[in-house]
Amino acid sequence: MRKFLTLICLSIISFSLNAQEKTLKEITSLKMKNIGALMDKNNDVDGYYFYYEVDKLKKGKREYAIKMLDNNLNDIATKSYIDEKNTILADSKFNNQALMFTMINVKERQYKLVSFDKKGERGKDVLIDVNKKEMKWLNLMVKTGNFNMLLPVDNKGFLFNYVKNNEKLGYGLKYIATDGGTTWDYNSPEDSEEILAINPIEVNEKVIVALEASRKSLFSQTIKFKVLVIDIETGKLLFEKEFDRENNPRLITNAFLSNENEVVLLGEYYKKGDNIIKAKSLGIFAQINNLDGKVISDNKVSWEDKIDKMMPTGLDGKDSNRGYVYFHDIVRTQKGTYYCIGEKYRKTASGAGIASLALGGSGSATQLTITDAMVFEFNNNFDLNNIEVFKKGKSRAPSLIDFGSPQLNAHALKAFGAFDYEFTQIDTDRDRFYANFIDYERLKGEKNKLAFKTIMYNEGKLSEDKIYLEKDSKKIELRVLPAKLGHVMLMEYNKKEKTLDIHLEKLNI
Amino acid sequence: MNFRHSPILIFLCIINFITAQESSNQYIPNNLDSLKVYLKRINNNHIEKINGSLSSKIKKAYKNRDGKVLESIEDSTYIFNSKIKKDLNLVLEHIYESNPNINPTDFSFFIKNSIVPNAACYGDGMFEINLGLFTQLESNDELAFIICHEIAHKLLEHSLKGITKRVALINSKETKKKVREIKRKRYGQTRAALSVIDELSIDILDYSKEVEAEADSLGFVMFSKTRYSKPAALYALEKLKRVDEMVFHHDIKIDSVFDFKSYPFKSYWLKETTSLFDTSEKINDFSLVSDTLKTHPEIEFRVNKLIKDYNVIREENKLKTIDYKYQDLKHVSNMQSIQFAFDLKFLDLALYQLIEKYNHKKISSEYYYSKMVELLYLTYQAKKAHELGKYVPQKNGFSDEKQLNTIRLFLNNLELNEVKKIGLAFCELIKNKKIDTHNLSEIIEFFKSINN
Repeated sequence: MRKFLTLICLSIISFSLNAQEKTLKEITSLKMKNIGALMDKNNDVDGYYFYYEVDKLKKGKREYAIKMLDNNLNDIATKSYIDEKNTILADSKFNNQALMFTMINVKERQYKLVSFDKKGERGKDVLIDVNKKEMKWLNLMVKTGNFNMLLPVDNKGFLFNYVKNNEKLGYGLKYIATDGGTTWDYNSPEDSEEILAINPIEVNEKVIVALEASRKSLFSQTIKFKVLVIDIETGKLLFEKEFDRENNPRLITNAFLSNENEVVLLGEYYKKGDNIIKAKSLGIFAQINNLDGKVISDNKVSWEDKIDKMMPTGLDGKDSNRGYVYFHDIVRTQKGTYYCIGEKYRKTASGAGIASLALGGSGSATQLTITDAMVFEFNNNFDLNNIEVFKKGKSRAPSLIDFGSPQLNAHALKAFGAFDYEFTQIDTDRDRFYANFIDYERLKGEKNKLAFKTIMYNEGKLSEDKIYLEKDSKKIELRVLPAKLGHVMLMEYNKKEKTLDIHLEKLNI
Repeated sequence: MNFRHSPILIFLCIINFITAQESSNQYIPNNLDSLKVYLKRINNNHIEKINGSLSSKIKKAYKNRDGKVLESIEDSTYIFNSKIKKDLNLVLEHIYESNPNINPTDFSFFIKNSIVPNAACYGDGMFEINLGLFTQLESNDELAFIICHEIAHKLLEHSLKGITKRVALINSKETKKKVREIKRKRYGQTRAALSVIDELSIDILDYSKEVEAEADSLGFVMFSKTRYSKPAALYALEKLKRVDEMVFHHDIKIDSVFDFKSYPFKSYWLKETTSLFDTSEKINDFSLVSDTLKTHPEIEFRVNKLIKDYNVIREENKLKTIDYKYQDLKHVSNMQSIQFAFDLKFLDLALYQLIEKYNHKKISSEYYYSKMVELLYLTYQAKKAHELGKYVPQKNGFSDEKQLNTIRLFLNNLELNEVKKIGLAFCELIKNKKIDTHNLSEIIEFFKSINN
């Protein structure tokens, strides 16, 4: 996608008649540096930004332009931004009160949080000085795909999450209020003997739910997870809950805050002493806590006792074995039912990898074979109601470590984008969700086709919609980008005519 | 042969040439190749007359323009409709007869598929008139004035002068010096280039404003030699003023059009999303002064100038007189204006026009209901193929066209299963209204089958 986008230049003038006009056109034709969607915590798209360099200025400065489109693809603002050469626009979010951009100034080693209010006026920049190591680690964390650098707090403020180089690597969580409230920092202890990282995963007008991960060293294969619940007004820790390996190992996949301000944690549970990144989980859980940290309920559903018995038989009648399921997201509907969205995978031998090793080359003898999308439905007591399978073509990804468990490889490969899952959008107003996948369909008697598939939940039912990403005409390249709820953005690039057609399309329920 | 009549004869030969192009596909004429040759010829004839120091650059501009016109024809930009052409030619013929000084040898008028009431003179003899002009005007008198205005542009060589001015401006010593200086700049090149572009654009736009008033004057002189009613010039301009402010101003009341007993209108079909900014205008730190300037002077100024310069007196009592001859042309144009929106799948424009023209009794109820069912069918198919957004843009908060925005919001917000239900509800409505459904049986069966 990135390669495709760099081909597109924005031009401020559109006429070209002779040398002078050509020169003026060339000068005012700007190459885009990057493009992004402004997404909220439910992955709803509020708009899009295009970031490009406009001018070279004195003392190594540059003038950049940030062009913003609303979620209907209308050009609504172009703001000028002056900073050092090679300043990166790393993230952007909208909280209904303001827009915030995370700018990374590589030369000055500084993060700059730049905001614009709803009138388009620029707010006071928030500056955070960092060192090279901290920048490098932040970059790596972002690449894993499971890291919220900037999280909007609707109608209140923004949370900025970054890496701090303490005695060991730690974290900084900065809250910037946009409603006139207090701005605060919640940082990991500077003298911590463990490497610490934080990821805020849910927030409302009262609290933030964040996952804190700790490990002894970079090479340690044991990770401890803690759930931290922090007061949004003060930045004070309300409670923390540790799921330690010895007593209660759990992997938190998702969390949300109910209307009653209860913290609902969702994920997989393990046998006491199991390492969650290596071991096979015992099942799935939903734990409800109040804001004092007291457990109100803790419901578990076991693979062996419940899920395996309900696992549907494959279309061929053979594929009843579940293999492994990698859960990407867990959604709770307004009715209180839960939907776990995952993909089925197995560890298999890799013919190409074995051949390469036999010839003295490098590679992996094993691979993960990823197949169908699966949606598990639980009732409000977390009893398993149903499992639905959505057929999907096989994807294969070579194992990163041949001797590691499939789970360990799945976690590692997830960060490299090996799974077909893209993202899930949640529409709380209409009580719907849209889970998106990319699938390479192998069609009998037809050319295989790449398809964008969406599994949708509406009025208690799941359905599927798909958009083929290959047109009959080879000159058209089709890409799908996230859009406002229930929509996708289709980008059709005509390679021959070098034209780009962008349009929004509603998913078909 | 009398000199007075020879241009008319040539004109009639051209008419035959152009109207002969009509085919089953009204957008692409059968004799496309010979039409291309004809347009190239008139373009070359025009180019050959251009001389002077910048002639090669001006000729290049005209050649580029010719290429774009030919591409437009292939892209179904124009409509080749014999009825419209015939009526238009009658008006043209009378203008030429009344003004023997006009030599229409290389004149050709094309009808453009556009709802916007406008006309244009390309300079080489090619003119275009938008379908929207025929639908907005009320008489041949008004149409004749607009045509005279466009012919005046040609006689006054406004296009050539405009391009010459632009080429001269861009190639002036002063501009070249500025461009050289920009190229030498180490810093701030883009901003400097934008500033030069802005200056050039302001000069070009200033010229564009001047020539409109000039074309009104000469156009009125020619117009006053015809039998057409003189005050029609004022009425024509005033109609353009009304639409200059807003083309789609009819309150379409979409919530009542799509409110059925069996399937009531849902308020969330018009639900809007939160915008990033609360501003009524686009925010742009790189905006140019020239972006805010209009290409045409205010209509009020033009109307007052005509009244002052030519002592035109309004005939209010004649305003109510219906020009029946023109109504025929207007009716065909109304139908064609809806049809091109259907053919090009501009379903928002099609829906607006259907409701507006039905409410104003410009189309029959049979036509309205049958076309509406067709529109729902096309909407269903476009949504199913994830293509609706290609033809119907999303709502634009900065647009003054509130009614069109409402339609766009509605069409884009509808879900496939909702279109399915609306389609069936509309079919039932047609049945109750006892509309002849002979031509719609396939679509009605389709909606019935997908609702089972």
